[in-house]
Parts: sequence; structure tokens; C-alpha cells
Amino acid sequence: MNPMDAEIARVYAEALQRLSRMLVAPGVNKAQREKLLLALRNLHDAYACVGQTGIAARAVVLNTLAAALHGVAAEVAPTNATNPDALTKAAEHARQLLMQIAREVFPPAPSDGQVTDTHSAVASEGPVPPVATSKVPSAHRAEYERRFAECVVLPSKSGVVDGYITKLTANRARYDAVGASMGIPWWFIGGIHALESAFAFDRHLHNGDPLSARTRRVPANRPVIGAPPFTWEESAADALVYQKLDQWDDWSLAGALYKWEAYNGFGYRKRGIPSPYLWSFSNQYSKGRYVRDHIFDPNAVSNQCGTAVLLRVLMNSGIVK
Amino acid sequence: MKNIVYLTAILGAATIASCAHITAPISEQASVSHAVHAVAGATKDIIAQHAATRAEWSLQQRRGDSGEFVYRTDFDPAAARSLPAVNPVDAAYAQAAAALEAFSSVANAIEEGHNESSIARHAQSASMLLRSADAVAGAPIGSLANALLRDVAVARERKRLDEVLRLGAPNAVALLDALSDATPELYRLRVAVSGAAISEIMFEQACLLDEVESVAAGFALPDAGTELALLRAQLEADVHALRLELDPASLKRAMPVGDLPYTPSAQERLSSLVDLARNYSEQRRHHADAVASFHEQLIAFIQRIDIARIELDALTKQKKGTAP
Repeated sequence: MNPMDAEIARVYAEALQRLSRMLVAPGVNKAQREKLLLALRNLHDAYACVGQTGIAARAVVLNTLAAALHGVAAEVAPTNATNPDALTKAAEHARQLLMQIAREVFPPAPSDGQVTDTHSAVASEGPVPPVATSKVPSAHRAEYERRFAECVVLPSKSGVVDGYITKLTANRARYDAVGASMGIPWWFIGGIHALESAFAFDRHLHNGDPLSARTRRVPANRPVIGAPPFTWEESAADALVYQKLDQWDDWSLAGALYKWEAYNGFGYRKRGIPSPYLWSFSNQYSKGRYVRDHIFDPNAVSNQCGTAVLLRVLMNSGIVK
Repeated sequence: MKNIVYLTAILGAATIASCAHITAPISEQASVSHAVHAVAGATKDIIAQHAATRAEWSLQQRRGDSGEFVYRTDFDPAAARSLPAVNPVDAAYAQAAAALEAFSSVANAIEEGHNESSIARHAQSASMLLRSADAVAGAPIGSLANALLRDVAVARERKRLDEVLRLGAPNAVALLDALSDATPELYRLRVAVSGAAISEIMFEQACLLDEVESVAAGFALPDAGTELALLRAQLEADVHALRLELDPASLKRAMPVGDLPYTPSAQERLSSLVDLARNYSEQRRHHADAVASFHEQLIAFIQRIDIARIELDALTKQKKGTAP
């Protein structure tokens, strides 16, 4: 057996034993048991998916597994029958495996080879799956606030930007329907929708791949749970959870811009240019973009409006306070 | 006349030599035919099991977070059209079984000295299988199966049979290796599906035992020495046994008591809850047995594969003249 698969099997068995023991322990209330059962379902579903489409799927599986364990450790642990430290350790172990895959085993360019006309190309040197981050680094925060204050829409693009705003506001109810329960602002989801799939509702919010199948590009093989074809709402919810946005509570200006940039990747920082995912169509950006996952062209110019620019216009017009 | 006798002798010797070349390793061919045929049969059984497991998993996938079964409210013909008619995993395995059967029947044909038309039929059936093989060409097992079928498809006449065995044996071995490598994936799905079912049952059992304790908490203990006291003591022992069954490390704890007098109807209610919890144990055992049974089936499958591989290796060495 492949050593990574053997390790996944070991983590699965360990997590299964711990969660099962907690599930049946006397003194656990029904609500806690339901949470444990949900975590167990995720665990089994993730295990069933191991190896189905290669190493990328294994990374996704481990992320799901780690998320399931973290969720339980956080919400159910304080009972007399559980061992929260052990559970957290198991979750951390799963996450370490995930990072090991992401950093050492992941193939460098899993792109399908097509130049994209959206910003779905991943802008990072190594596609590290999302990990919940507790706060915006202070250097980033200051930069976001400065650029946002200086941001002006290029006059040549103002008509196009108006078109974006019209679509964004028209779709507000659908963004709200997905994001409200997770506390994610509608305009944040709308910004991703604009950049990843040009407002198309037959595409995954993850990366603009068609909803008729699981995602092919990074992040691949999403959603793990359920079967295609997916509804836009199903996949969007999966994307937001996958990116840990449901756990993010800093929806300040810097917090939102940071998570937008994280969604696409921080690869532009290594190139020394502001991310077009945020600043395209404004005076903050001129050229350079990832034309497909991990492939950077210094002379390519983004043909989409950046998310921060959209937020700037929404705030200028009073739609977002 | 002398020349004719001499020529006849030469032809006779050549014929004998030719026959010997084709039929010499009869015992090897019989063993190969039998062993490969056994693997083909086992492959069909395994894939039937796997298809059933996938169907179970698919059913589990239709379950919502709160456990209810969910279904789509819309139907998209275009999306339906884009779905494969046959599951690619099933198709690849079916192709593997067919290729092994075809290879086995060629070995059998040599052993039994089939005539030319019979041999041609074997080749034709292999060619027909190849024509329907496009759908599985991408899968490793499907590709290897197709390679083996191509080997068999050339066996249109007796003199090609030997060549088929020579060329096909390494491909057959590679296919057996691929089938062997795929078994962890098959087992993992079985474990996950049965594990999910077992977790659901454990949840139900734990909730039922909670309910038993909750109901018991309303009633005082019956008078000592009465039949009700015996029944209640037995009930308490049953609850503990069920908890131990769910978690062997479970500690014994007394059921709570309340103020209401313990009545036969209270006993009946508690007993029915315990019976329900006990019935779930049977279901749990059934799922655990399904996993164990599949594990045994896979062990037997691997053993059959190993026997076939040994036979094929021996045949390959014999064809190369390297057999001891």
C-alpha cells in the first residue's frame, strides 16, 4: 500500500475509535451526539474518497478529516467522557499530513493547460490548501488600508466597472442566501463570483469550473460530498467552508481584502506587484498576472475588475457602508 | 521411392516437432487456463460486490446533515447526458475479467486441441470485446485488459496460439498485478460505507440508552424481593451489557431513580426501549460481518491472483527456454 494511504488509514482508524467512543459515552447530550455523528459522517465520506483521483484528492480528504476533528474538538470536547487533548492532537496530525502532501508531494503544475480569462488561476508558488488564520498580519493591514484609500478606478474602465456593480447588486439575494448563515457579507461572495466565474451560476465558486462535475483545477475534486451536477449554492457553500471563511470573523476592510487575496493566493507578493485579484482596473495595478495556475506572465494584464476596486465603488456609492 | 520415404520422414518429423512445439507444455497450459479462469471469476464477484457497495454509498450521500434523505428538486437533461452510461471502474473490471477469460480459453484451446474454426471464434470474440473497449482505455486496468485482448485477437490459426501465450503472459501478469494493487481502494470503500452505517446505529443505540435512563429517572426502585425488582435488576444489567458492547471501556453506573412508584407499565416501557437497542446490535453485527466477509473475499482473490501469476511465470520461462 502507498505509505501516504497507509498513514491516512491509520489516522482514520484512530479518529474513528475516538469519535465512536465519544458518541456512545454516557453523559453526552443529544445535541453533542448529533455533532459527533456529523463528524463521523464526514470522516467516513472522506475515507471513501481517498485515492479516487490521486494526490490532490487525498489532500482534500485530509483537510475534510482535519476539519471534522477540529470541529468536534472545539464543540464537544468539554464532557466528562472525552479527551479533548488527544482529539486535538489527532486533528493536528491530520493537518500535518495535509501540509506534508501540499508542500512535498503535490505536483507543481496541475493545470489543464488552458489560458483562463478569469482570475481562477491560482496565484501561489505552491498550492497550499487553506488553513484558518486568526488575524491579518499587521504589515498587510497597513498596506490594504493605504491602497484602498488611494484607489481610483481607471477612467477607461469606469463603464465596465458599472456593469460589474449592476450584476453584483442584482445577485445580492443569492449571495446572502449562502453567506448569511456563516456570517460572510454578500459583497465578499459576489467579488469572488465575479472574479472566479464572471457571475455565471453554472460554475463552481471555487475556481470557475463547470458545476456538471467536481472541480478539476485547484482546488481539485470539490465538493467532496454529494454528487454532480451540483447547484451553485451547494458548491458555493463548500467553497466558503473549504476556505475557512465560515470561521473568519474579521470583516473589516483589511480582513476582507486579506481573505480575498488569500482566496486567489499570495503569489503576487513574491513578484513585488499588487494582486490584480484586488486592484485590477485601478491606479494600484498596471500589469503582470498568473495566466494559469502557477504560470506568471509579467506582461499580461488582467482583464477583470479587482475585488477591492468593486468594494471601493460599492462604498463610494453608499451600497456598502 | 527412397526420396518419397525420406520426404515423408522429414514431413513427419516436422509435423511432430511442430505439434510438440505447440502442445508440449500441456500441463502448464492446463494449470494456466484453470488459474486464470479462477481469477476472472473472482474478479466478476469482487466487482459485483463493489458495485453494490457504491450503490450503498450513493444512498448515504443523499443524506442531509440532520440524517434525512435529500433529493434534487430539478432535473437537467444535459447534465444527465454527460454522465457515463457504465461506471468506468465497473467497465475496466469487466474488461479485465473478459480479457483473462479470453486468455484462459486460448490456453484451454491448445490443451484440448481445438480445430481452426474454434480457434478463430476465440480470436473473433476478443476482437469484438476490443471494439467496445474505448470507454475504459484511460484506466490502467482497462488499458492492460485491452493489451491482453489484442494479444488474444491475433490467434486466428493454430500456429499463432503459441505466440499468443508467449506474448500474452507478461500482459496477463501485469493485469493481475494491477488488479491486486486496486484491492485497497475497493476495501476502503467497503469500510467507509459499513462504518457510516455502524456509526448511525451506534448513535441510535446511545440515544435509546439515554432514553432508558431518562425514563427510569422518574420511578422509584420497586420493593425488594418482588418480581418487578428482579425484572428491573435484569433491565439494569441489560443496559450495562449494551453499553459495554458499544464501548468495552464503559464503566458500570447505576440507573437513576425517581419518586413515582415503579409499575408493570413502567417496566414494559423500559423493556421495549432496551429491546429496540438490542435489535440495533444485530444490525451492527450484520454490517461488521459484511466488512469481514469482504476482507476474506479479497484475501481469496489475492491468493488466486498469486497462483495464476506463478503459473504464468512458469509458462513464460518455459516459452523462453529458461525453465529449470
